[in-house]
Amino acid sequence: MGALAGDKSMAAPARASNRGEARWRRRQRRVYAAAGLASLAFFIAFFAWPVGAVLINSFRPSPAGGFGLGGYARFLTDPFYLQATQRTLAIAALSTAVTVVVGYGIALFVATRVRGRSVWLMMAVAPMLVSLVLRLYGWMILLSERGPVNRLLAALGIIEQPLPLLFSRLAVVVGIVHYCLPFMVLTVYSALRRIEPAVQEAAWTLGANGWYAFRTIVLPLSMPGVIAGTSITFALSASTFVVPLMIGGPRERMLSNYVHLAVERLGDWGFAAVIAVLMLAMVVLVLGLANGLARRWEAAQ
Amino acid sequence: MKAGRLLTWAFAVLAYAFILAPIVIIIPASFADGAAFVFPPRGLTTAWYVRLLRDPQLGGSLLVSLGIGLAAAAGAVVLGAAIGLGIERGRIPGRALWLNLFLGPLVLPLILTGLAMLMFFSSLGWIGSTRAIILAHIVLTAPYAVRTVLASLAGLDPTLEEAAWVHGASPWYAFKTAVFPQIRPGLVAGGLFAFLVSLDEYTVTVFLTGPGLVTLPIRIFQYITLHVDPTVSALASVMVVVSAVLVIAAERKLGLHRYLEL
Repeated sequence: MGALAGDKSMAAPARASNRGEARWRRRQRRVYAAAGLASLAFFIAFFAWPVGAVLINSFRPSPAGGFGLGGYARFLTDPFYLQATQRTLAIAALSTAVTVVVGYGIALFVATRVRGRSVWLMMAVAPMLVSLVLRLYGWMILLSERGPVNRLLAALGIIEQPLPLLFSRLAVVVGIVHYCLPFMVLTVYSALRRIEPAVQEAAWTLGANGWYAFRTIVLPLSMPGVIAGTSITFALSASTFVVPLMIGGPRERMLSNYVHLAVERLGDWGFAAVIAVLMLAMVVLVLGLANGLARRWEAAQ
Repeated sequence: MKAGRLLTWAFAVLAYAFILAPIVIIIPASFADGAAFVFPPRGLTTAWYVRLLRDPQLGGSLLVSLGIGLAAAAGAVVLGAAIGLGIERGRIPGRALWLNLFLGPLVLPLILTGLAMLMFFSSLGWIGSTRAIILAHIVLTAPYAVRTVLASLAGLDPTLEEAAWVHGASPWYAFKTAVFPQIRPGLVAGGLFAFLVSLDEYTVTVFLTGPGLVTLPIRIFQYITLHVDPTVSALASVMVVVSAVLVIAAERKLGLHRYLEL
């Protein structure tokens, strides 16, 4: 079959052609399935298996000891780590709230542009293709004691002494919002595009009617996108490592940083695994909640 | 109506300033005469670019990261194509489950993946080796390629491959002429995403570096915690300009935003 035994005259009788076609399709499907299964094996070996090993190791708090919940008990009874959890959740919640509001605003702004829409979209979203380490370096310049933000505030007469903006809670939230905003804009924008006519109508009938149309039609219809974007943002915020590392300083460390410290400073891989698994549980919980919420919302509509 | 429009534009200007400021500031900061975190600077200089060329550590890490990025992108594209075609065309059972597995690295906290890679590769004695970092980066960046390949397959007409058969083509020839050209933009976009993500990867890589092997983002962080001179600004502005050129070119050629939309 195929090209080897193939019939290149193209004058094959229809019945033979059908049988040949079925055989050809089967063979082609097998080739694709083999490629898919090979990559599946790669992913199981280099991703699923190592991640599974972390789960197992989290129940083996010390290399010498046997299996047990000791690591989890240690985490959940240590005020230091409970405080770190609380701080992580607080930072993630605040960052997510800001990202939802600003991200929705930008997505709506893009969706209501008549001209140059893809340029506005790319300007809002392309920064996620620029290295996060570099963007955070940019924030270090902007927020430093003698940097542009402090200079501007001083020039406007708002402050007399430079504010310690860098290495603060504020800096971490700013960094996380900057990191998550493109994801939020994309999700909400995709939702708004699906209800394009309603968005355009609300935009054209500006004023009281436009606001009414937005509140009663556009906002509810785009809610699934908002829920999806919020859960992605929260998951990314709660598990960020680089943002608090670069612009947070030691007082604003989040759970990811303690995973790394458990490895680097304590040399305790089992306890690092405990923190990482608890973080995963948090993310799964939030994503599951958001999923359920989105389903109920769609059912209610 | 006028007030509403004014308010809209005021919001847009502030929001876009917030998005672009930390990227744009890097370029003037790289010409600043004086310490890194004083802005506006007292004078202008190109000294930092000269120093960058003479800095063996930053330059060495840049080369290491470029090599790893290219290898990881190539691996991610091959893997992404195999996964996308396998799931869509090979009809492997359990489609949703496998898709979740392949997109898993995007959902899992990166620090967990990093710890997993540390435990796995240390059991092989591969910590501090380029191959461990490349393999980890392939896992981390393959989801981007999977998504762009799935996006291009969604718009692909399966009858084209059959048409190639009618003309007596072998499956390989049919793939080469009827399928590959159509998924090529998706592969290029996926490869670009994979390259950029690999070049920036910190959280997982930090567990895999060794004394003689430090990737660029980690080197940059080490540098700015030790030095206050703007040599890193020079490097950063080169990287920002190169990424901007890559992204704009890809947007022009491929319509990159189509692959970004969810």
